[in-house]
Amino acid sequence: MDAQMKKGLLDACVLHILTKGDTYGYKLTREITDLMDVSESSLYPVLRRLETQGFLETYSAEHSGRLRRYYRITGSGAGRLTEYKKELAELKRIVDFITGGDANG
Amino acid sequence: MDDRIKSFLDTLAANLDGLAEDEKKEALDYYEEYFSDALEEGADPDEVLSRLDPPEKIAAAIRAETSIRLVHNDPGLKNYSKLVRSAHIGLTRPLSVLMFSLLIFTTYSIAVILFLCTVISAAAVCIILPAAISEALKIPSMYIGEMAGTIGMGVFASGIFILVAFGFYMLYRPLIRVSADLVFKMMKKGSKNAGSAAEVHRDIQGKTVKRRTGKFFRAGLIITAAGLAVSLASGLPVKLFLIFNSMKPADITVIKEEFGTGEASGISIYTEHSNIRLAEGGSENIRIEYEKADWLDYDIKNDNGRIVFTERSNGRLPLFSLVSLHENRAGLVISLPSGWKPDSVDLESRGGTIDIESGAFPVDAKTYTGTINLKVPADGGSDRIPPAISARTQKGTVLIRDKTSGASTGYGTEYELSSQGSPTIRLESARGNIILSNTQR
Repeated sequence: MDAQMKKGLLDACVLHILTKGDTYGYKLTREITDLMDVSESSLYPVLRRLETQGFLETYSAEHSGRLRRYYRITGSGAGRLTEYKKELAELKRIVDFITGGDANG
Repeated sequence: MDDRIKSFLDTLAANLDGLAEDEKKEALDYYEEYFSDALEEGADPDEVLSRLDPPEKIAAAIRAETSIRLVHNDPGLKNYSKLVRSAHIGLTRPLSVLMFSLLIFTTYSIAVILFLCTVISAAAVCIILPAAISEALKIPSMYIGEMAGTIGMGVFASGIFILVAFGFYMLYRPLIRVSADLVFKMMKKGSKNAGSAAEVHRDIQGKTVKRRTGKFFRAGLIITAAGLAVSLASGLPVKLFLIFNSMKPADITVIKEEFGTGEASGISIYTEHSNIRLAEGGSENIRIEYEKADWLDYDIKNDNGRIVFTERSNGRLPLFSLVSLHENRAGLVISLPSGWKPDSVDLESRGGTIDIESGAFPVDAKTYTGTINLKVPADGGSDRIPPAISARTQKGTVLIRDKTSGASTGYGTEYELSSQGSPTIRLESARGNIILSNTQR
């Protein structure tokens, strides 16, 4: 897939995964890399940016004798995800059109 | 901890030097925790490392993200420089280095110019406002309207400069932002790293900046409008407008004086910027008709057989020394009885025009910026001795029947017309033109 396209989808994927529950960096990275082919080091800048934009927040919780940082989606993050979904729905219609998958075809 | 992982973290730390301490710690903590979690889940260190980019590249991406965020939060040269410093490391190909250098050079040049313009405009506000107030304080307190008008005009001009400064500032910030985005794109080119930061950042940061600058802009508009309202109410701008467009002032008091030829043998006139006209005929007496504008004062007396007229400012107009460089269309007309032979007629005006339409010599006329028009009646008559004329101007030109005349000298332009007789007309203007027509030979 085109690198530029992946970039745009990355934010949406992260936000979407977080709606299913709080999680931590490594686990989140694994989930994303299972889904699309990006370097595992791509995630840190994305997470950091989403945090400074207020779309997600972090908290620390103890895990086997050390602190682990968890990510949680915020209200505005959920709002952003809804926007992404709307955009993707439009994108899907276009993809369907190009690939001839439209049922009414 | 595994040696390879430790060396990875060390390299990362070394490459993050120069970043804000908390940003650096944040990133290192993240990767430390990342490895702990990976190993805990039984992953092989080699495999984990192979799935990550080299630490130098990771560090570069983090630096870029951090600095572009800084630029978007506060688009100034300082943060831009940070971005540029973190960016140049990632460039290797000669062409991209060249493009990069060009972009940076252009951005810096424009930014510095815009920044200077902002500073100069802001400085102008700091100069104009105190200057207007000090000028207003010089006006006698009975002219309260002019005082308010002067301050109002100062406030208006300050408001304009605030808006201009604001305009330059508004250009400066997006310039830095756009250039930063370009730098960011250059860095990201060819890299697998994600981040369409530029676009995303804009939609949240833009709003807060807009709100703040919007307030500033409104303040500038209010100041400008208030200054304009006050000054217009005082009528001062209208007065200045009339003067600078060579139109007759609205409030004029006409003053008439008459002197018998027996009482006076000479005339001395000085005006600040009211026009002077020396005319001939109509009466047996020397008649002086003065259209007094309300910002001027005058004094007329017979000083041992010499009529002396002096004009001065009554302090009502601000910056009078500047204003009086321009002619005041209200003027002074001196009508001489025909055939009267004066000892001398001295006419001087700083900014006013002097028109000489009389055959009474000798005449001495002098202005600083005003024009001098000499029109000797063509039907002068045979009993008149033709005048000897000497005209000189430093910066202006001498025009005789619409033709440029005179010789260039050390002084400026000088023109001489000699005759056998002694009565002469001496004309001198530092900056104005001297125009001669109907001159008899």
